[in-house]
Amino acid sequence: MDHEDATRTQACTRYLMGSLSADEVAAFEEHYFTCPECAEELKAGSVFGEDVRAVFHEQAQRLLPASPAVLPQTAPGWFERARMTFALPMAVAAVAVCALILFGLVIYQNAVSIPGLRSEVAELSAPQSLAWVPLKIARGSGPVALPKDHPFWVAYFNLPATVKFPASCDIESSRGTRLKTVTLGPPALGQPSSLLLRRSDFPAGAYKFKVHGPTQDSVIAEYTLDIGPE
Amino acid sequence: MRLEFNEEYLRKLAAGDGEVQQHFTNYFSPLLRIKLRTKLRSPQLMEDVRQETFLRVLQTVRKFNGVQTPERLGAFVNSVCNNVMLECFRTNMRHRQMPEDEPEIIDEAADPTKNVVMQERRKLVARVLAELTPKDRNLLMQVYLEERDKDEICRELDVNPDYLRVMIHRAKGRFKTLLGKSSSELH
Repeated sequence: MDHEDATRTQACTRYLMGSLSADEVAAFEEHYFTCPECAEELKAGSVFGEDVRAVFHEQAQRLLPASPAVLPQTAPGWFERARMTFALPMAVAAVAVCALILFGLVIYQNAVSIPGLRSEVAELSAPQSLAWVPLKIARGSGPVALPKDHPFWVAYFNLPATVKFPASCDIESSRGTRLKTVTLGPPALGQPSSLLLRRSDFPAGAYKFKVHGPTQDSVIAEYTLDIGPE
Repeated sequence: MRLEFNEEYLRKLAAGDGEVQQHFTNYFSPLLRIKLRTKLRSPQLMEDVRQETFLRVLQTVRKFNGVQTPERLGAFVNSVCNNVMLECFRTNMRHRQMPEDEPEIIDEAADPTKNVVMQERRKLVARVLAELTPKDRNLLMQVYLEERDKDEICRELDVNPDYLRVMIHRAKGRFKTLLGKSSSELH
């Protein structure tokens, strides 16, 4: 192959594109190693190809999304720095306040609550007299005075022999508001039924005690009680 | 530097003249790389073959009447390269070290001036590519970025291989024009 052949067949471009046959490649290689013009053209074409490849590659890289693998480290703002500065002292202060409140609570319980409960339990556990108040069906009797210094009192009444147990007793105010409901078991043989009640729950006034059988369908017995002022 | 391959050139090359040896390696290195790139995949192997070729050529030149026709020096380099490649294929060549007095191979990538020139050149190439139609740009991108047979790409894109050749030829021409303008503006 001479220079004229190489130019006419565009051997240089075809060589770089890989479009020459094996014989043509061998002939052109022998030629361009001895032909300065073809050597220059080949070098220029090769450099151009490398540049085109590099430019396309760079453009393709730019189209790819940025990697989220490493985020830039930014300096913390003033709020973050202040938060980091005061976080530990504030936590220590909060713990100290909690400990102080807990300590105060323990002191209060030991000094006030527990002795009060102990005295109350002791008071309740101690033998004491109870005020027994009979409940009557018939009206007309005068108000009953319950002693102030007795924490409890007992209301007792005799139920008809036909009552089946367990029965229940609704305690209502004079306006008909139900205050309590107490379940009644069978009394001891020959004894009346009785209710142990707190004195403080019954200020002066009229009260009704309505006894129902197990089915709650009707009132078996109704008693009234007037508690007078102390 | 433009030197002619004549008897004087061969004599200086055989005598170890630094300027001539530099010219010799600078001139033939790109040609060997272009040739080897079409035949070998491994950059390391290409470099080995290139160095072995230079070594054998210089050893022959230093012998009396080693290269009888100076104007055929290029053809001789090419044939030595072919032999080295064949040996490489046949025997999985062991590496031979270059003698210490041989000219050093210059690492072009480490030259900052060349890097600047390369960046400027690539800007011009990007401009040439931007001037192409989208279809031509796509064709060129597939030809240069994909390691596939060019004729196959042309068939897929329903393009005549001659059209591709002409298009590349024109793009190179446009690049040369821009490069010329750029050079004249600098001077």
